[in-house]
Amino acid sequence: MDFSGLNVAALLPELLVSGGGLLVMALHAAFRGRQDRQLVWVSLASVVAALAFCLNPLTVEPGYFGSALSDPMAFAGRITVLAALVLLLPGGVAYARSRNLPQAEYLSLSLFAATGMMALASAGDLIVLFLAVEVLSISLYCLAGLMGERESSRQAALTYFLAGSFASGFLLFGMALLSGSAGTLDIAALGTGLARVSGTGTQWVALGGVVLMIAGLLFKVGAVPFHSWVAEVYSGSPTVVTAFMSTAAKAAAFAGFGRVLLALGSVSEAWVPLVGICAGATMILGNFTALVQGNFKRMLAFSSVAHAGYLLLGLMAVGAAGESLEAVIFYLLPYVLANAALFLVAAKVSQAGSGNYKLDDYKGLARRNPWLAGLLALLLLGLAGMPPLAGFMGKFMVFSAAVRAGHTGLAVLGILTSVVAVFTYLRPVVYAWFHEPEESGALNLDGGLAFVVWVAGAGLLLLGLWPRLWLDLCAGIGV
Amino acid sequence: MEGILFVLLSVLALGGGLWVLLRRSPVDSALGLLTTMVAIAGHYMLLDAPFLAAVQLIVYGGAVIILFLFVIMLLNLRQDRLRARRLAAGRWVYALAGVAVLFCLAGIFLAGGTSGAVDAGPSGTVEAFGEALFRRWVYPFELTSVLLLAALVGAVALTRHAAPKAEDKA
Amino acid sequence: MSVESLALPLALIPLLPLLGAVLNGLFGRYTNARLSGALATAAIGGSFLVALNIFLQFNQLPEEGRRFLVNYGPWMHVGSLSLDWSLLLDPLSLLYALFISGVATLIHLYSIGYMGKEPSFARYFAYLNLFSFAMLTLVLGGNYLVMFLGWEGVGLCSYLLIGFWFSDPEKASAGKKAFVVNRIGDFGFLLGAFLLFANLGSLDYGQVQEGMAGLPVGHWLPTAAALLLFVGATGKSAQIPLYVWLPDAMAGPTPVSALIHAATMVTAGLYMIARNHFLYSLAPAALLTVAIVGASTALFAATIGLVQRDIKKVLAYSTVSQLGYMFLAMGVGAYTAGLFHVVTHAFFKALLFLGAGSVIHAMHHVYHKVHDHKRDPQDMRNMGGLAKRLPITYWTFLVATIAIAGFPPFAGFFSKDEILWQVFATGHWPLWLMGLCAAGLTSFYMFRLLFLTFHGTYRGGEAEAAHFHENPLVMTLPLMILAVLSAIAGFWGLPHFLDFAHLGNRFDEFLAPVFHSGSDLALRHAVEAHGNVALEWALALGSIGVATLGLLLARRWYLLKPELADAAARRHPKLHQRLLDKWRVDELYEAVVVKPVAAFSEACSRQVDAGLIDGAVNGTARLAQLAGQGVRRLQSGRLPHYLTAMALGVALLLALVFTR
Repeated sequence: MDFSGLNVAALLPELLVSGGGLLVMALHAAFRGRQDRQLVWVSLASVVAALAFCLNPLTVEPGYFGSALSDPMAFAGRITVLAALVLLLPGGVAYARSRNLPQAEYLSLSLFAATGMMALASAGDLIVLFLAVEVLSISLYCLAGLMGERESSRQAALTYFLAGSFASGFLLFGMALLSGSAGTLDIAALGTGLARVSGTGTQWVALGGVVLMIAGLLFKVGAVPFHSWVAEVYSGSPTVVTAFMSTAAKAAAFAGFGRVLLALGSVSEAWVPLVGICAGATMILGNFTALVQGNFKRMLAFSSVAHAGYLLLGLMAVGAAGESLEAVIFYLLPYVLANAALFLVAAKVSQAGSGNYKLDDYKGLARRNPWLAGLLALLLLGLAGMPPLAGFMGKFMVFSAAVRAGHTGLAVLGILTSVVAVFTYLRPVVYAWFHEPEESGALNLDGGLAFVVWVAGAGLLLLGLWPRLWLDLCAGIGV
Repeated sequence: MEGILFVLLSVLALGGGLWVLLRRSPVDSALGLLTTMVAIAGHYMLLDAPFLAAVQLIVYGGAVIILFLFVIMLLNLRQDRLRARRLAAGRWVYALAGVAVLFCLAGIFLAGGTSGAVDAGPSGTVEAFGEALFRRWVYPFELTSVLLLAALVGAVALTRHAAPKAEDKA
Repeated sequence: MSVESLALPLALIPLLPLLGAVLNGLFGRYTNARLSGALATAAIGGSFLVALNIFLQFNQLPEEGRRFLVNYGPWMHVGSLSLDWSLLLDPLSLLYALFISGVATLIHLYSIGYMGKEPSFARYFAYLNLFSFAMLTLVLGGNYLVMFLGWEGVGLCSYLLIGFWFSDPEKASAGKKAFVVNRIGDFGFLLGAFLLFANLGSLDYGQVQEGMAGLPVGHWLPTAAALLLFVGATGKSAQIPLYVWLPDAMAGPTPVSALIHAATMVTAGLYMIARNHFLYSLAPAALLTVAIVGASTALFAATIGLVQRDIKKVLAYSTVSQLGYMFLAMGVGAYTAGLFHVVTHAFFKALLFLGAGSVIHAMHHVYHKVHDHKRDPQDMRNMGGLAKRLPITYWTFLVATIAIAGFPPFAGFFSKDEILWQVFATGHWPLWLMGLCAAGLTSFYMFRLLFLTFHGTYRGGEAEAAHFHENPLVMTLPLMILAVLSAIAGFWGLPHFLDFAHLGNRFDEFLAPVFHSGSDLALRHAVEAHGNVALEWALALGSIGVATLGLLLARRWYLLKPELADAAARRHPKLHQRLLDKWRVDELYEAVVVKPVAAFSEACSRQVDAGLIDGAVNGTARLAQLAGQGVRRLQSGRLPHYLTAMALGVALLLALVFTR
């Protein structure tokens, strides 16, 4: 039998991370849970090894007969996911420990989810795409319910599971229609396959497939009108899991989404208006809803809906000839850094305060820990798109891509809604710096959280000043 | 002949699906699911994939449904406890949404027909199936194993650690 | 001088204050206020010396060689977008760099005295240096994005500095207001930049100017871009309708008001217009808009300034009004006249604020001595007769007052008169009339301030007055230097009808290489064609006359017969109240903008929480109840609603595609 087309190296990051997950469970069983505190190091080792491999991709050929790609986008997506894990795992384990969640299960499920996310970012055909979506979704459903002592967590898991399965149904049906009419499962070949049936009746079936697939993917990225689950799931899940969902999962979903849309460039006149309408509605609804939330976690949840709108705007630009996904890929990394750190900060501040993520907990934070308050401001302003932070660069690139592709109206809407977003992000900053603390006493960070916050803050600044660092890696994505 | 069989099997599969949804008794629902599984196995036969049809019958028609029935019997769900879950208020809105989707999808097929020429792929023998599954599609196969593993770990985690506390039940 | 030899010194101008900010931020807690302040002052002073050195070399260069674009490497290259880290040195950016670093150095120095007892002095000086860095980046930036970097940076630092005393919620909300209103302006700036980028494919000043070169006057592109950029300018430079943040920003420490809200940041909008003069000269409609907004702001803000009781509030509205003059000048194409007023205003307004700060500092000290923490040390009704107590402050303040009121030969006269003359000569006589009225009002409210604060008798009683003593040299030295500059700076841009010794208008000549494009010259020729010396004399005497009227009225009402002012207020209670309420513009914005946005957000939030589907479902539920059926809330939360919403979404998307 001939296995020369396999090229296992193309899957090394996925293998390392899923192997890490397996090892965690094995060690957990072997030591009967007595050494669970050390498992985080095993997980981190596998993630860091995968990250090291991704940062140094020695011109890896695509593997598994083109099912596992190794183009720059695959690596950019994987790196983003792994970066989120590096930030979230140490804090996440501390969170799990303090709230009596099962650590080993948390770690291994996170690693399995990350495997799915990376597979999604590097998926070369529709079958892998779907399976990757399912792997990450199943893991996240379970992670969402880990804090099962609480009604809200169980509810979140159930809601996420049922709504997610519903969306997966649309996704799968759309894929079936699309690949059936295009005569191929290879994502890159979808465009030529569709061109062959254009003008025939099959074209309509193919378009139906495109729409259903887009609907399924819009659900996964939490865009309007498929956003209704976000509030309940994001606020009900354990915060570290919410952080994982809103960063790595979203980044991976956008990478897969972008790859599909890039391949569908030949029928862009059909899907560009759809994505455009959803992008516009998402930007408006997300930003305005976030504006009035009195709960930090919910505010971040809706802010992540709003960011999905900006990212959709970037995806939409791919419909124009000669455009690439560079802007979207760039946007994702600072977004992931800032959000991951903010959710962890939210967990910490909330635990030290009301326990239910009230914005009031941030009052007087500057008195209790000025560095934390300063970094909080930095991260929030990064999300708001203040130069010179990377959030601004991302928005700038997305908007200028939209302008180049001729979607000026939506770019204007994007800029306008990002003005609204400034109010949202400013509220916790004002609370932190300009209000008297309700509780006295310093709020000290443990080492892990301090690491996360500093790394994220430095990353935002560095990527804003030298976007080339990241862009060089992503250069020519989708060409 | 094939056309008539296709319609028959499809009606069976859809009818089984509706049965699952509409019957209140879990056992009835499981039997509806069995009907659907068997009908789909028939579809595989029509598509010239006898091995797949056999696997479908053994795994889904056999093992999975039996497992379902075991679980249902173990849980010993009673009719009166299930009654509360009726969709009373919004049923017309929900139905409207479903009909809207159905209507749009029907529109696609009416507009497009089914003239698509799909590559039939390798014939459905065991050899061809194995060749495809463990060569070209070995990556999805492996990914499926991760999926099952994650589901397994998740299921254990949820049942062992995530049960509601006693006071929460009230 | 070459691009290579310039690279280091040019970069040093913004980087020195950045270095100062970093050092103070990191090590400030281990120093004392004097050391920290000295470090910050040295950093910005170094920038000034570097800029001065460049300036001296610059004058020896041929006119056409006075433009250097120094590229420090690529920043962002995405698709067709390519942006570099680049700094641009030409007479315009050099002018700004000079007066910003110069005035900032003096204010840093003053701050050592003013903020000496503040516990978080290092933070304060770090912010101050950071602000200087951002402002210098703004003016030296070589393309729109580097400029925007500085543009946002000054906004952020302004926010930090306004909210410096963060225990006070009023100050916090002032900082927030400044930040948000500025963001609305930035929205315009970004849109304008995107418009230019979409049509010209570049964000480099030089390339945009080349792209514009072939366009006819009145073309839509320069008009639209100029108007959008002007929205940004109204935000940063506090013009109608976005001026509302500046008076509130007075909540910050007084040296901050002097630096940011009087001398430097607020002139960023004018810098932007001057930098884009090639756009504006192609867009008469945009220019006219600028002129009308400028003149209206000049007059409108001056009316509010008439009745304010807080010494800093008067100066704040005065700043808004003076900025209006500058925009008026820009709007009639008299870029150099506008810029000249920018420079002279920087001197005398910084002096006024520092003088006010000196008074407030002294008042604070006295109230501290007598253990009174209730009275407001900024309220002019508590002051009076301070001329004898604070002699240096008084005399320097007097110089600045005369300068801003427009009496020759002080700086304000030359620059303001030049503007009014250019406005008149280009045929905008209604705008000229508004400017003239505003000049009279300016003279009135400034002398009102002077008399209420320094003349008459101290209204807190003699016992208290004994506690006053003049502030230390570190605070009065900047006052004296600025007073000299306010007195003599006018001679740098001597108008030709007063140029008896044929010195020439040095200021005009210095900036000439920047404003030399064809359409700029056309406007200049229009002025020269209309001009005649007799008319110029007449206008100059007219504005001196108006200023004198203001002075005399203020003297009569506030010095000789104070009861007259109250009587006037009683005679027109409604008008007086309106003025005190600042024409109720804040309330208007609250009703027209803030409330609808909040309502819309609430609606969105409800939609998300309850959902359209919820509404529909509950609607049918109510119907069902009416029909006599009992309806129970679903146990499974809102899940069916989510699924229904998703199904409807899918149907909607499908329908959208297939009905096209």
